[in-house]
Amino acid sequence: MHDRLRRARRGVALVLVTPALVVVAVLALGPLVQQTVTLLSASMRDGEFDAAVWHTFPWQVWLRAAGLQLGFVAAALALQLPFGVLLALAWPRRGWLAWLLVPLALLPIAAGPAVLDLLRLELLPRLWQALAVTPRFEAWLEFLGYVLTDTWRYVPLVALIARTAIPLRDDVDAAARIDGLGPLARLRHVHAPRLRRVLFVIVVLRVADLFAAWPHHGPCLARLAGGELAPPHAALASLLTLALLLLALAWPLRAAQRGGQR
Amino acid sequence: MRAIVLLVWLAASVAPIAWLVWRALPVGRDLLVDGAFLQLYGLTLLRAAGAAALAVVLAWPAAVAVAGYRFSGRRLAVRVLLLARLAPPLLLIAPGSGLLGFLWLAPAWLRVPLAHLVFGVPVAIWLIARALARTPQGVVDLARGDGLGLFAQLRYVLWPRLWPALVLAWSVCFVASWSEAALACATGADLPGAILGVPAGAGLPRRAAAAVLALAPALPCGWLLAWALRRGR
Repeated sequence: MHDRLRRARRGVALVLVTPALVVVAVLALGPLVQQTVTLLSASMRDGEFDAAVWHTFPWQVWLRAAGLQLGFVAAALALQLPFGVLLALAWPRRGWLAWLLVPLALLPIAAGPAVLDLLRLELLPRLWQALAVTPRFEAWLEFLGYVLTDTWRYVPLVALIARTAIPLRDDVDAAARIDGLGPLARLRHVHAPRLRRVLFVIVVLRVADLFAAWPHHGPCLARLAGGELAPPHAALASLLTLALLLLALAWPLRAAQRGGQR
Repeated sequence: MRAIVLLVWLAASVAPIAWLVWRALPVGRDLLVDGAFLQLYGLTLLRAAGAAALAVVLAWPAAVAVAGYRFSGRRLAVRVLLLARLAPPLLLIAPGSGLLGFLWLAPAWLRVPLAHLVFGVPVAIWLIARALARTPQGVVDLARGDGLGLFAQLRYVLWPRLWPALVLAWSVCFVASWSEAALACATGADLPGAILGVPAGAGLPRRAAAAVLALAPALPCGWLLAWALRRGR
């Protein structure tokens, strides 16, 4: 009887989860398979493996671009996490201001790419001309601009997610304040433990999104790294980048999973 | 201290948008009476809203399974969904949309919204499952003990907790989808089912005006989000 009930429950669960899983798997794995097929078909000639694609792959360019990408992720996170936590702690808990601020927080997310591109097209060329900077220095300034604009865009999102870990009626914080703890001590002993798990989730989401922002900052990083790649090298670079992303996320994912089990 | 942090953030947040509005002012009125633009705007709105709704419809049964059942393959299912969320759009959207077109699975205008499901569905599952996991098992057991059937449990116990999460998930998916629309508007990118339809050659004021109009749906969505966040606590 117990086994039948368990089997029935398992059946219900599988029926519930299958549609989402199939749609996501087909949409996500399809393109990965397509990239792999592109790479493999370029690596086969007359039915035999031809290593030319692998030998001619510009590893140094890809490694430089990957290093720059990791630097971009690290710089953006170093700005976004502290500012996001600070904003989450300052966020009003109730009242008209709380109602007003959430839509305002979404505006940079919705407007971000538009503002970015218009700034890049209108203001920056004039600025570079006025400063008479070299093309390489210009690319570095543009890199910095991407880090800053991404921070501008996503700090409110980090704050909104971090805010969900702080209760509306924060009795523990109030008690710590009465006990005479300063802001830094409260951050260390009251807020940090409850924010730890949600910060791992934020890191996972942000790292994925910072890699995903490649269509924006990719050309700039490619200029710094020494050129863009053409197919089939582009397919190999895409697959290597996905592997790098998974490596970059291995630690926060494990930590988030351990937190979930606790 | 709290007021200073909020004021600095508000100033930094609003200044670029104010600049955008200022650049858009000369042509804003022309764009509002441009029938072709408004038609594309409405279509884009429908696509983003539809993609978000489809993500929520697909996600909520899966969220019920992930939050409420322990079944073999659960961990694998969660990992596949997580991996799909993590894979960069660089890898997915353009090839995914091309693949759908190659296989004749979707008309051009539907390909990008469908490709957005790769990111929308996992996030929606996470948000809904999180809300369901907060429902104390004791309440469900009590309802069952009182003789409530599966449908009545869903209606009176789970639904009041579920629907703010559904609204939250829809809002998040909509903003993500709409933000892609704004990207295409600003860069004039030739994505399949082109969003907002402002060509790359259009003048900067016209593109700024289109970008300002692209902000409009974020406001009601933000209020929905604020409401859902408050109800979900």
